[in-house]
Order: sequence, then structure tokens, then C-alpha cells
Amino acid sequence: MNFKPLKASFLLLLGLVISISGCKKDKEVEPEPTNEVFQFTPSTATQEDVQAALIEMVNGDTLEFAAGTYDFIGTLSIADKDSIVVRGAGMSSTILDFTNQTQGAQGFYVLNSNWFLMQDFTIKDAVGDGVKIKDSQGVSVLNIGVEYSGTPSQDNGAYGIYPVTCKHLYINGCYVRGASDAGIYVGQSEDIIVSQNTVTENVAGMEIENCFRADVFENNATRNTGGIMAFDLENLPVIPNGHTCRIYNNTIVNNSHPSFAPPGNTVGAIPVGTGIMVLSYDRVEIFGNTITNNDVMGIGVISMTTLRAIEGDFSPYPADYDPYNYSVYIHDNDITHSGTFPPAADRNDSSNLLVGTFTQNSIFPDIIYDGYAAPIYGENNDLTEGLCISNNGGAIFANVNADAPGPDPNVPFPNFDPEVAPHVCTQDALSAVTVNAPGL
Amino acid sequence: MRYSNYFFVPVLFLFLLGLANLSSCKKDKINPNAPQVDFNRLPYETLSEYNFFAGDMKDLSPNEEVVPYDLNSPLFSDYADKSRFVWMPNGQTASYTGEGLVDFPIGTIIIKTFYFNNDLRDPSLGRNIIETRLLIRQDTAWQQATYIWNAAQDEADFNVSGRQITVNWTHFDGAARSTNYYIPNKNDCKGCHNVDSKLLPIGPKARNLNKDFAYADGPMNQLEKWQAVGYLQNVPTLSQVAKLPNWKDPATGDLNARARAYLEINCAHCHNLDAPADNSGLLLDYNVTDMTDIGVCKSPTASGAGSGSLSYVIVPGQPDESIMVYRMESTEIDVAMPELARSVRHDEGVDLIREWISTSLTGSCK
Repeated sequence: MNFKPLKASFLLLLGLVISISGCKKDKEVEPEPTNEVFQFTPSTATQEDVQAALIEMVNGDTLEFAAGTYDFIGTLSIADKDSIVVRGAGMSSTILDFTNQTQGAQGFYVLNSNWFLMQDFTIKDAVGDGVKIKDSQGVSVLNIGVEYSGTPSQDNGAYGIYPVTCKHLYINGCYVRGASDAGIYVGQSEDIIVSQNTVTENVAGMEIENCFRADVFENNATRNTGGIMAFDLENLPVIPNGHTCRIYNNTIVNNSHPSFAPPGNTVGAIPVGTGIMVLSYDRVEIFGNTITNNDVMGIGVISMTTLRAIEGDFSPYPADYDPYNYSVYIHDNDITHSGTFPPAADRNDSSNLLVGTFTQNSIFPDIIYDGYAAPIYGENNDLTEGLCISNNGGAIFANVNADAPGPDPNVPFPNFDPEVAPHVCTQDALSAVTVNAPGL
Repeated sequence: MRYSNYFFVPVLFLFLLGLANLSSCKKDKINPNAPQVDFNRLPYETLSEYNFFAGDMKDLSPNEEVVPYDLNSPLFSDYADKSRFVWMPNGQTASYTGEGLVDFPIGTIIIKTFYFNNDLRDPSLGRNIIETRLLIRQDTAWQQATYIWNAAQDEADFNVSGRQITVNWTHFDGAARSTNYYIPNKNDCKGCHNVDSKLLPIGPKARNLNKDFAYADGPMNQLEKWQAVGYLQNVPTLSQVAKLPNWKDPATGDLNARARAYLEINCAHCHNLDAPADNSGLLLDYNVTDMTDIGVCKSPTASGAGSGSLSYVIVPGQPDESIMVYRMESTEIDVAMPELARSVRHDEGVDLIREWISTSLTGSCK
């Protein structure tokens, strides 16, 4: 086949287009993928040069940090680009050190960038959140470390890895230590996998908050105040009520770290010594987890109404918020050694409240329910609609019936009820989440 | 020839299109006293190339077609002063579409220059011009370009990656002040100028432009002036146009209105349902009426140490119990609000919000 006439004519045409483009206001042409690799070493990477590269990269480009320790003084940010990769030489060999940070509230900030992959480096001592990812779709965070060094402190950043209002997230193989709120926090997002991460010495190890469809599995949560959370909070406009979360095959041990949450934050209400806590969530399946040595409760299923009551807050809920847990299904977990209680000095208010209640009743449960059942369950007299439990070995259950408090402030939960029968049932399994993100 | 059918038809079409373009793009006569902008070459490497300014560039006196403006309530930027201009290509006109952002035509350039007066008490004592930020409506989308001024104050160079520089001034009280002023990088701009992930101007909303300005040929309402020079159309009778209060001037609104004006221009570009702080649920547009949305008895969201150990964004009557005040007063980078472009406390703004919380808001949070 002879392409010559086509080629020649095409050049003529191109010439014409170029000759006329000089004086018309062209639409900016979308850059072609160049797949260029911007490489940095500790000696070549100034804040201004790395930031300039992050701005000048076009769709499909990669930025690489060679092994070594890099000093940054401000947030590194990327915005409005697709198919970008930022990678280091390994979680323990490429360290981005923000000890001297004087600008920006995050270590790394990713805004409106789809099909984004970040992997194989550690962010150390960011002044605020380690990595914040906002309004992006198809994002993978793989083998990223976020470390707030030294004794865990309320002055540390709130979140180690913090995607919010995103879709299709994959967080795998990461390590977070020292976050003053949650090590890995996914907020108001959809279609999420959080797997095979290690979170330690954070207030909450990991938290799924007001999300649709999250799978949290094969993680190791240890020595946090609480291990793994599924929380639904009020007044969050992007997703006012989350639902559908599977927490399975995780190892959740020794989560009894004294809380260092800055007061005022909801995470401060997590009882010191919590394995898993479900707060006002809908459709949660918890199975196959090893939950041991979380000194107050292995699994708690709690309503926002109870947290508010502890704070003396009885104001009405916003119209778009549902405070009830619905369809929480707990089965086939190995839950042991709850109720050994942290030292008194290490407890917070909610921890003390439970320790006192369990001691008064001489029952030390592994699975705790606060009893707030939506009126609709009562119509059918079927309490399993709120909480369904089966086959958790010798795990002990208690319903503190916080919805029926007594007059004596020293006995806050007089209707403490260890009878599990009203909640024994089986349910259909939730479906696995399908996530489309780099590396899957 | 077998390619002819599907090849020459588009060539012919494009050729004709090219001719049409050639005839429509004859350059206007070059006016040396007006801006010269070739949109295919933007952003220019230097600010002078645009020819926005007449005479000495550092005087910031506009060339022909370049119209100065200011705002009823401007954003606080570390006590920097700002000069603002707008320019549109020949024959282009913006449209009034209500009290919100003016609908600017393709080709519009908004020119905002940040400078520190040497002495805030007396502008005649000279100034240090730091940066000029351009917002350019290149097509349907806006682009931004930042120029950093040199020490000689006779040129400014294009910059994408931002810079921290030390600035000094004498404050209102006569004290010598200094701070590390941050010139934002290109991505930072999106942190604020962002509606549904698109870059947009913040200031030039009709309600914020609705004020008199002292033009060289006498004072005039800005919306009327823009209409008179052909930069704006469809402006209704001025009495029907909303007016944002000047937060500093009690004659322009009561305490509540002025506080809300201050929050709108300093916070609402992010704290807005279509903007980067939508996840917080704290919504500070001037027109929001839900008290929880504006922070009254609202628990903090994702604020970490930013909560300052306090329980609510605003506690009526109690500014010291209000996270909003705590974050406005702080200069810690993980606490301070706004997150960007504020390294010193805005004392006058804090005073306003404290007074508003103390006296305009009532009730209890429990």
C-alpha cells in the first residue's frame, strides 16, 4: 500500500492549520501523553523544582524519587492531571521528610486527579495530614508509609492517608503510625478497598466514614486506641449517610493505647481498648477477623445518640441523617480477651463508662450493643434487622440498652442485658466491592 | 486515486475554514497605549509584555482599555494591599447575570497586584510590589499566571512553583512588622479559585462590585462604569442589584451582615458545596441561612488539632469557645484558616467575628 500521497497532503494541511493558528484564539490542546519520567535524587530535589515538576507534568507522566531522605518545607501538590504516577524506591528507602515544614497543611495533596498512583515511599513528620486526596477517581496508594515520629501526640497530623470525596480507591500495603485521628481515613467516598495495611499507635487505626461500598480486609491494626471504625456522622453534605462495608480477615490486637485525640473530635469518643466500632452505619458485615486483647470491647455497635448523650447533647438530628445502625452482621470471628481493662490512668470517659458497667454486672462482653433500634424494627419485633450475630466462638454479648437509662447516675445502664438470643441469625453475605484503580 | 473520496473533502473543508479564519483575524491597528495579547503565546514570560501599564510599571497606572476596580469586602492577604484591573479584547462584553459572578467573555484578563505599603498609616511613603496574578479566560476555562516582581520594581517574571519571601512594613500602630509572605504555586490557586474543580474568579461578583470608585474622570458606580465603557451589559437599575456590605463600614450593614460579608470573601470560596471544603459541611456563602451550616453548634469535621480542644465551630455568645475564632487567630499552619495565604493574624477581622459571635448570635448548643 502506498501512503505517500496521504502523507504529503497531510503535511500541506498541517501547514495550513499552523499558518492560521497564529491569530486565532485556539482552544488549549489537551497534551498528548508523553510518558515522561521526572527523576529526582536527594541532592537535586529542591522544593521549588519538585513542585514545578508536579505542575509541569502532563497526563501519563511519572515522578520518581530515588532512595534517600528528602527535606521539604511545604506541601507537595498535584492537581487536574490524569494517569500520573509518583513513586519512590521503597517505603523504607525513600523518605520525604517534612520536619521543617512551614507552608501548607499536608505533606502531599492530590486534587481532582484521576487514575493516580502513589507508591513506595514514606512521608515523615508532616505538620498536618500525610496524604490528602480530594475529588479524584481511580486512585491507588500502595506501600506508602506515613510516620509521625516520637511519642504519639495530639499535635500530630489528624490523618495519615486521607482520601475524601473520591471514587474508586485502592489502599494496600501501607503503614501509618502516630496519627492523632485516624491512620487511614476514607471519608464521603465510594467503592473502596483498604487491604493489607498496618496501622499502629494512632487514635483510630483506620476509619471508613460516610462512604458507599468499602471492603476492609487483611489489615493489621495494633496498639491503636481503637482498631477499625465504620462511622456515620451528621452534617456531612456529600454523603449524609454511608452504607455497605465489609470488615473481614483482619488482625486486630492490643488496641488499648491511651487516646491522644484533640478534644472536640468524634474520634475522641472511641473507648480506649476498642477492636472494631460501628457507629450509626447501615449494612456492615464483620467476619473472619482475629480480635484479641482489645481491653474493653472487641466489637461495639453504637448509635450516635449514645455518643451525644454522653456529651449531654439531646438536640434534634438534621433531617438527612439516620442515627440507627441497620443490618450489622457479625459472624465467624475469633474474639478473645476483651474486658481485661486498661489501667485506669489510660482510660477515657467512654472507656470508664463501659468498665464501670461491666464491673457492676460482673460480665465482661466481647460484643457490645447499645440497643438503639429504629422504630421500624420494633414493628416487626425483629431486632436482628439492626444487629445479627452468629458463630463467633465463645464471644460474650451484652446489650447495654442505652436507650432505656435509669435515674441513678452511678448506674448509667440499669437495663444491661447479656441475652444474645434476640440477635442470633444469619444473613446473606454482602457482595465484594468492584474497584477500578491502578494496580488492580 | 483511491484515497480521494474521504481525503480531499475534509481538506477542502479545512482549507475553506482556514480562509474564513484568515479573513476574520486581521489584526486591529496596534495601539501602543493598550494591552497587546496574543492568546496563543500565553502566558508571557514577563508581565511587561502584556502592556497593561502606562509609564513606569511600578506606578501601576493603567493603559487604555484597562479598567481599575475594587471590592466592597476584599480577601485578607497578610496586610498586603491590592490593585485590581480588568481588560477585555476589543468588542467583548461581560454580562450581568444576577448578584453572583459576572459572566466574563472569552479573552478577559483580571489583573491583581499584591504590594506592601512601607507604612500602613501613610501610603505615600512608598511600597514594595510582590506579585501580580492574572486570571485569563482563554476559552471557556480560566487559566492563571503569576508574575513575581524584581527588586528594581521594573519587571515581573512568570512563576509556577511559588515562593516564600520576607516582607517588612510599619503597622497601623507604628510597630515594625515582618512575615514570610507566601506566593502561591499554580496548584495552590486551585485550592481557592475552584468551583466544581474548575478555576474561577472569586472577587468580581456583582454584589461585591456594586460600589463607587474614584476614577480619573470622577467617581462612579463600578457596574455603571463598566457598562459605560462597554465592558458589561444587562445591568438592571442599581437599586435592584444586591450589595455586599463593606465589613469595615457600619454604614453599609449591621453587624450580622458585615460578619457574613467577611466570611463570604475570606472563607466561602472553599466552604461551599461546590468547592474544596465541601466535605466539612461548614458553608459560609453570604446567602446560606441554616445556622448549623454556618457553624452554629456544629461539631468539627476532619479538623484534627484544628479543633483547639473545642466542641463546636461557633458557640453563640462565646467566641473563646468557638473553633472559628481559634482557627482565625492561629498562625500554626495546620490550624490556621484560611489554609493558604495567611501567615499573620487579621486582628480587625478577628475582632469583627468575635463581636458577631458575642452579640449577634444567641442560644445554647446543648
